[in-house]
Amino acid sequence: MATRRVDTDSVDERLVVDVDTAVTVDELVARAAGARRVRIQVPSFTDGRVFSQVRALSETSTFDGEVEVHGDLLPDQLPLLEQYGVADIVLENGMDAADRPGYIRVAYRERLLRTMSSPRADTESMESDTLEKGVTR
Amino acid sequence: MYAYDEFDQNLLTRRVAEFRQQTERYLDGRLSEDQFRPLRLMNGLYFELHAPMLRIAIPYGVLHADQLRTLARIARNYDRGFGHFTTRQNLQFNWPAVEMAPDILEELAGAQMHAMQTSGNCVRNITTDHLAGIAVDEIEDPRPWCELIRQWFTLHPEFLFLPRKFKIAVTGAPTDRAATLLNDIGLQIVRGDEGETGFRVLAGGGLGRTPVIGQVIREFLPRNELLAYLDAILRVYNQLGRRDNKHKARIKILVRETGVERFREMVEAEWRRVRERVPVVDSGEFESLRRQFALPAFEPVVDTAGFAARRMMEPAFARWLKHNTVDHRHAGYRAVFLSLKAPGQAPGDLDADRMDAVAALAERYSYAEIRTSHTQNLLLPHVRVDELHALWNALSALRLATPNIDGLTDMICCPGLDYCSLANAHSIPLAEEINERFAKIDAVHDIGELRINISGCMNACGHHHIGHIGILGVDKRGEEWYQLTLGGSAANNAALGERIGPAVARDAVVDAVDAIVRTYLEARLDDDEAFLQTYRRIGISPFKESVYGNPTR
Repeated sequence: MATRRVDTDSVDERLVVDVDTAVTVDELVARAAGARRVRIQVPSFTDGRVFSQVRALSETSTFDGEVEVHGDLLPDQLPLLEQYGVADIVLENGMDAADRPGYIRVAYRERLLRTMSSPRADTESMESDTLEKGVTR
Repeated sequence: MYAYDEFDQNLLTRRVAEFRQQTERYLDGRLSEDQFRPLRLMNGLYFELHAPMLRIAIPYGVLHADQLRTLARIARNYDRGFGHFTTRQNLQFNWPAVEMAPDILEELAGAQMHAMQTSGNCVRNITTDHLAGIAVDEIEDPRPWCELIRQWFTLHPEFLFLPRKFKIAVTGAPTDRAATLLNDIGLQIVRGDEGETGFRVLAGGGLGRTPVIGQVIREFLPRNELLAYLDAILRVYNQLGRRDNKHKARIKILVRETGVERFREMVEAEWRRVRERVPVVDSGEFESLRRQFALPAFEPVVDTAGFAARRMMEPAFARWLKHNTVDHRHAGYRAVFLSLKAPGQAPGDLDADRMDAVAALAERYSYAEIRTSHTQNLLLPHVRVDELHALWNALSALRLATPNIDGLTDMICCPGLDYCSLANAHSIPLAEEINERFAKIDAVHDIGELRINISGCMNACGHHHIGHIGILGVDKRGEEWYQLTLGGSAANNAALGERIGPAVARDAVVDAVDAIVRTYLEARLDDDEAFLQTYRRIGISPFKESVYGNPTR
């Protein structure tokens, strides 16, 4: 889906990037560079590509704006998006965001990221042949 | 065995509360059928032909006696008094009420069990070798790795809405008993150049409608990179796996359509990015996880003389020993299979009373540990040889000692038309007929290793493609017919079965299997040549002739 110019009169015109879930992560990150806001439209709550998209936006150094996700989402999916720093979520299917269960605050992954946190010795020079032989730390 | 700490328990309690809330919203109409579907599936709840089905996780197939008792209690209180062990080492209840599912999950949580991600388009129960930790040929116990992978992908926010289900299997031994060639990702623990262990990574295998044997995408992955590398594969799949057609949505189709070389490049590129975020597996932390899987402190076994004498004098005991027990890493012990394939019994089913009885036997003879196998049987993994005879007697009384492990009547069978809304044909009654026909013949001829797999439809839950004899139920103008394949295997030399000819009618299936078995018995070089070896030596033609007659020339 092509980038949609939301409002041609807006001063923020260049800075808002509109996409849907069909855009690959690489393309999305390239388009988002320097933008103030990225808006992702989700066609169906079964379309999990959005989670990889927002994860990539949260990790790239070339985008530090806000991410908005809107479309056919379940309230139950809000915590998942929030874990990747999504600022605004708009349910466009008539569902009530207040129905989110919200019992789980921390799952294993967060704990593992904390406990299994040995620094990498070779993050800067990741030559594939050193990886073939095993990582020495 | 892995024991939950406060963190595990707390997470599970909250997960149950969450599912209770979701179920309430479904029952009061706030969630539609479609909206509830992925949420209930992620908690193991299916809506089947006659009733819901709840699939409970048995992570990497390891159960404590108390957990089996909990399953027995649930079978009695919420189901019809029995459960069904699956080919992914899990357990299914076929008759729970939707409203009761949260209560069942709460009872399970009390026994450190759950149904998380046993269904749905997410990472499923990690499966492994049923002899993990005790296999004589093992390089390293795969269970701590399975647990680490389980934790990493439990509620991983990026991967709960994948294009399709995702199955991972790990083997720690060179003899592959975990079907790593037939999973979305297969991991084989191997040794590197300096003797260190790492993983050979395979991807794109799977059965179902389009059976594919997995391909190696990395010959050696340093062990500490495991989580980062798995994340990379999942990221590529989540983005590029097909979502337009559920029958083409598995990773095997992506690997095939992109080509394994290109797929590997994408994974490796993604891995380099993931490595900046996902830390290496800390050796010290992993070591403390590994300690939870330490084997029991085995005793030296002295009295083996009585055992040897009994084996000489009691042929029925000897026969059971030969077929239903295997070597153990520790001298003086053996692993004992409990056959869930007695004549007249639906393969993989076990009633609540016998679950309790097995739990008691596990406590008495096997350090309270029970394993589940891919072949829908149970194991008591650590039994002293001098206690085998007493155990055999106890198992015989429970009808769990049929000496048929890996034999013709040890069939793998899906629930079929008796339970499943997808099935074309029955599979359980067919398995029973085959069992009746062959139980005696097997006893006389000692047919040996011959795996029969039965699926009631092309979704292949009975894994018919990898049966030495595969049987697939098909619908032919509203009638149940069966397509036979020969020569499949899930072992190291994995192969997909070859169609023997046109489908046969229901009342001709057992005769066809009979003809195939007799052809084998006549053609085998000696008693040690197993069916698969004979088949590979002589080819499909003699079998074809035996089933369909000599073609007119």
